[in-house]
Amino acid sequence: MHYFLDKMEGIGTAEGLEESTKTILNVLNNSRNSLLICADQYWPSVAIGIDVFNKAMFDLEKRDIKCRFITEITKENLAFCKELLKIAEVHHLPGLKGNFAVNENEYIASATMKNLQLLSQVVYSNSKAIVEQHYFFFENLWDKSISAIEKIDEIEKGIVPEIIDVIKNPFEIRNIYFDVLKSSTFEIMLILTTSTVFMREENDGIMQSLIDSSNKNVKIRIITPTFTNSENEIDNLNQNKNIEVRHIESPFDAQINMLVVDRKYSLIVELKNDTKQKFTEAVGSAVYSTSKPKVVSFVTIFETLWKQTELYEKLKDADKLKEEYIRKLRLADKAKDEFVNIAAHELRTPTQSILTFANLLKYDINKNESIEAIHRNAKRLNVLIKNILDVTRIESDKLLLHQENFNLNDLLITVIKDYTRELKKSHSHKRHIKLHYALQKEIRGPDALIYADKERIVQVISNLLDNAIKFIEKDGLIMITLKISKGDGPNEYGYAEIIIKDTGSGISEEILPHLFTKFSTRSFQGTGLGLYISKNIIVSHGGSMSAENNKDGKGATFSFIIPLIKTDLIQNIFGVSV
Amino acid sequence: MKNKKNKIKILIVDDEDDITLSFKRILEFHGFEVDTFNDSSLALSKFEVNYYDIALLDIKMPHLDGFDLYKKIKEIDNNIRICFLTASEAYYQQYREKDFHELSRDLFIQKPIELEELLKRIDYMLK
Repeated sequence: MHYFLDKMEGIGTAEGLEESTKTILNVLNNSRNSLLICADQYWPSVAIGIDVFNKAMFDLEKRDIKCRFITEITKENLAFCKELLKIAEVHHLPGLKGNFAVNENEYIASATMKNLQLLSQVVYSNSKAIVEQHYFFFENLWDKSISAIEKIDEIEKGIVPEIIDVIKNPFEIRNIYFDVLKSSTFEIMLILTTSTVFMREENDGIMQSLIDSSNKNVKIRIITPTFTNSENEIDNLNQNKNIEVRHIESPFDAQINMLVVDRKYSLIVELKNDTKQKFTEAVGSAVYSTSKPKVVSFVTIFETLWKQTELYEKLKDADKLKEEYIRKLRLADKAKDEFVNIAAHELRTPTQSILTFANLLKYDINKNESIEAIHRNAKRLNVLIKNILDVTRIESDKLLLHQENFNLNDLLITVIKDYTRELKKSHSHKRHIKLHYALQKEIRGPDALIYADKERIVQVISNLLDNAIKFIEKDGLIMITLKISKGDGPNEYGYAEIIIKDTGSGISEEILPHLFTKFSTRSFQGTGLGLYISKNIIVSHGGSMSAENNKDGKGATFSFIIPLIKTDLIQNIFGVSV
Repeated sequence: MKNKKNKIKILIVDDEDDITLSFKRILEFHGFEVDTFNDSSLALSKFEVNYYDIALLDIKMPHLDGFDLYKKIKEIDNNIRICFLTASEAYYQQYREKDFHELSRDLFIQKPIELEELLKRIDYMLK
């Protein structure tokens, strides 16, 4: 027996391995009903791994002593702890420091403990007060600790221990923030609620941590409201292949910052003073948790918001599309109304003339005049019907072309001669309009060979000439030119270009931007379909059509190009004035 | 009637040649004296006060439309009875509702109109 054990109540220290071991063994052996031990992570190796203690420990079990132990269970001491479970009820307390044991009458403590090593110094006391105090300490710690069976199970299954920690120290919050970010292996979810958070994050290097994680192939998703003052920072982050930042519509009411890493760790940081630029000055408190239900809840919140941002984006796009459709529908509706009005006007006017002239025929008045007028107006109705049908064909892609090889120069000469004759006949008393046709100097007439629908090309040329005539009020000149450009562009034989330049009133600025669309008309007679049809005919021949006002401010020039099938450039001056 | 020969004098203004020509011919056949113009500005410049009994004006015309011509003629000659002729429904409805809502619907003639109906309208205007 140790010398001081015989003495009355007191406190003493056992020095040296032998003394200390004896003291410990005495306390173990003196236990009658119960023994409580609270000791750090190294203690299980000492209690089980050292023979002399192992024997005494199992002796407790044989003597039916009710033992309870608290220690920190780790991967390293797991096997020893399992042995301890055979002797006692064991609890786990993470980060446990200090070591003490109490039986009914005695108390021992040791400041340090080392793996599988005997103790070299032990404090002993049989003071009733000290024993009672340590009973009290033990019970408190017991309540705060968890069952060793649960902990062993977690370690064996690789489960992260569930921790819910409220941290008030800003530096500790910052350290945990970094540690958690750095520990990420596959996923980071982050909700940032204010822009200063964003700026601050960058200042404190957390943004850099995110970029580092993204470089390790960690998938990072960030939800944040749109902030004008941090757009660049957000754009920069979005440049990283594993980082995606999404916006939600309105800023959050709560000033928090939510971080979830690998669906295992969560850190909710409450912001105390959002205006501060330093992380440690801005944060209030934080809740760090590895509790599965908690982390799963945060993941669910995050995923819900993430989906919401998706829906929000889609909704924004859908709204835009809807507005665009409505706008187009309104335009189409307006155009349709205009067309109905114009078409009605164009139907009613010649019908009126036909009706009245037919009446005159009945009365046998100016018979020839009436017959001609009826014919003229019936033709006008016919043109209207053809135009409406052409538009329908163009819009349903059913414009059929009956193509053949012919010479554009010959066709132009014929059409222009017909027009000249008609002009002389019908308007000579009112207007003086002259047509002049010229071929490009370098070419010969027979070289302008095209493969096209002759009737349709006549329709186009007539439409352009009719327009030119219509917009010449009194006297004017219409210059028609045929140009050949060889071998440019996709067609190996080049293009023929027909240019019709008039000295009329020109195209109004209002009409010019949508000249070739349907129902564009400034005329008081006409449907506004002619140019739309003409352009489509030329386009369906692989050509194009354009128009502009003349640079000298008088009249307009319309031109179209159409692919040639074969031409040779031969020096020749060729011009026909008709 | 104002004119010495007791013939009713009608002025027709329409930018369509065939409309003015056919109306002139048929109304003359029915005993009216008819003057026609295809240019509304010219019609106004040649307008003679207290000469015409009736004016038939097209609405949709370049430069000076039928409504403006109506106002200008009425300023010069308040006794003349004026009737609008139109082939464009929307155009006349829009203006009729705005500026000419006091005018009877009968004073708007929608083209095409049958001869019998036209003569009836002229009769109505003369009453």
